[in-house]
Amino acid sequence: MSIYEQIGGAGAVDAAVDIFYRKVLVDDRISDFFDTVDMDGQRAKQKAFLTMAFGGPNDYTGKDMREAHKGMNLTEEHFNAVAENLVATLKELNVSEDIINSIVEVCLSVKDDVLNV
Amino acid sequence: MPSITFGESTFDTQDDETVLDALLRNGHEIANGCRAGVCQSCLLIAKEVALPANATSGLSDSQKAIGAFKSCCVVPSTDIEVQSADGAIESHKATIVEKTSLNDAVIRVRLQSDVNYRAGQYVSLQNDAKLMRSYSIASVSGTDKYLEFHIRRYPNGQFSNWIYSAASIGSELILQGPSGTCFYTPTDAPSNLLMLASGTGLAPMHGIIRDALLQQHQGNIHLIIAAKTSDDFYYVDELKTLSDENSNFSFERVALQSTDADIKQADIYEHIRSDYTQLKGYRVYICGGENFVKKLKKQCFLAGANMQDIFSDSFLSFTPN
Repeated sequence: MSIYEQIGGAGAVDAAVDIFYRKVLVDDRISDFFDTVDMDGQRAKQKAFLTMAFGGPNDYTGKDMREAHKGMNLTEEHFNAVAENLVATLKELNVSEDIINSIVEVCLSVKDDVLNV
Repeated sequence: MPSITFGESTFDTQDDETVLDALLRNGHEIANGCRAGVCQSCLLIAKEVALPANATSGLSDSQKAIGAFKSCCVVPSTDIEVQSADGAIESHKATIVEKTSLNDAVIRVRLQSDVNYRAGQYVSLQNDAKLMRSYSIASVSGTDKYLEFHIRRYPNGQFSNWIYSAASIGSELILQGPSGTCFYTPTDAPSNLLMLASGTGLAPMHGIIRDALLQQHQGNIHLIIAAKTSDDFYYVDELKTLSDENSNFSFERVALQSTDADIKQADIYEHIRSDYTQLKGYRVYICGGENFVKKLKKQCFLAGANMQDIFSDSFLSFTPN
């Protein structure tokens, strides 16, 4: 059983997305990146991100990740902030430590693409 | 193989392809992302067809009510007609049957037309000179025998000045639409509604509130109207009557400058931030200018309202090309 299935598939993404979005909106380190006029569009992107992080079905490639974050001058601090907010979200949803670690690993695997290094 | 009709074109699907894949294969540009039913980028609207549950999971009740679905999740088993999520552009004739001034800057226009709509949706109105603008509907379908609009007059507004000066009872318009998902849908469990309006954002809001009350909404409905000065409000008597007749409806007015004891003098954003800190489980409706909607949507979301329980419509000012 994949991690995505273990934590409840699309339902888990739905449960996590609003909690996660609230956290990044109030995190001064990264809120500017997420504070767009089109909250629905931003939320859709986050659902796609969470699906990928949870190991669910997605079309993301390293190239997409690179393109999507190009020119944003992201640093290690920004990346860590997103990861911390994700971990806090998962803890709030009582996801087990093992699974959280696996999800963090997925995030770390795309770190270079996100930071465009 | 079942066929798909999209706008002017109709074509057959192949094997087990989804609606999204079939449209893309035929050269239609449809936004898409995860292709797995998660990101909701590929929403379309289906006409008169039963959709599988996974095609609408995660959508708001009002999106479901207009037939919105995730096109990456549907492999058609019968012929299907779809349109872009912006809604169908159907044209209807409309005739002006009433013009009444509501205050110094806002006029109420009532039209006769056979269009079907939900209270809170919007339409585009076009006059003889081909001037076209979008306005929210203030009336309630099935109850009111007319379509009602609240139109603000702008000094250089071509359409609003035409409505004020040249248009008269009997003038004909072309109406296109309706569009929009900012409308009332009944809730399974009683829930509280918070309605936020600025300016003529009261138009759709008044319709949505009456619609909710007519559908016997269980739970409280509270309306907050924001304005710059105490002279900017209209429809106060109508709202007072509505709250006298319905114990679950209340309203308040908030203005930056108030000379009236009934009107709270405050900044609307501060007022909502300090007095509405727990909106978990609420349904929130927000109608007004772009900035008003943007700021309050964020505030209400941070106060605990779910994104899919926030319904909004921003009024964009018309900029000539």
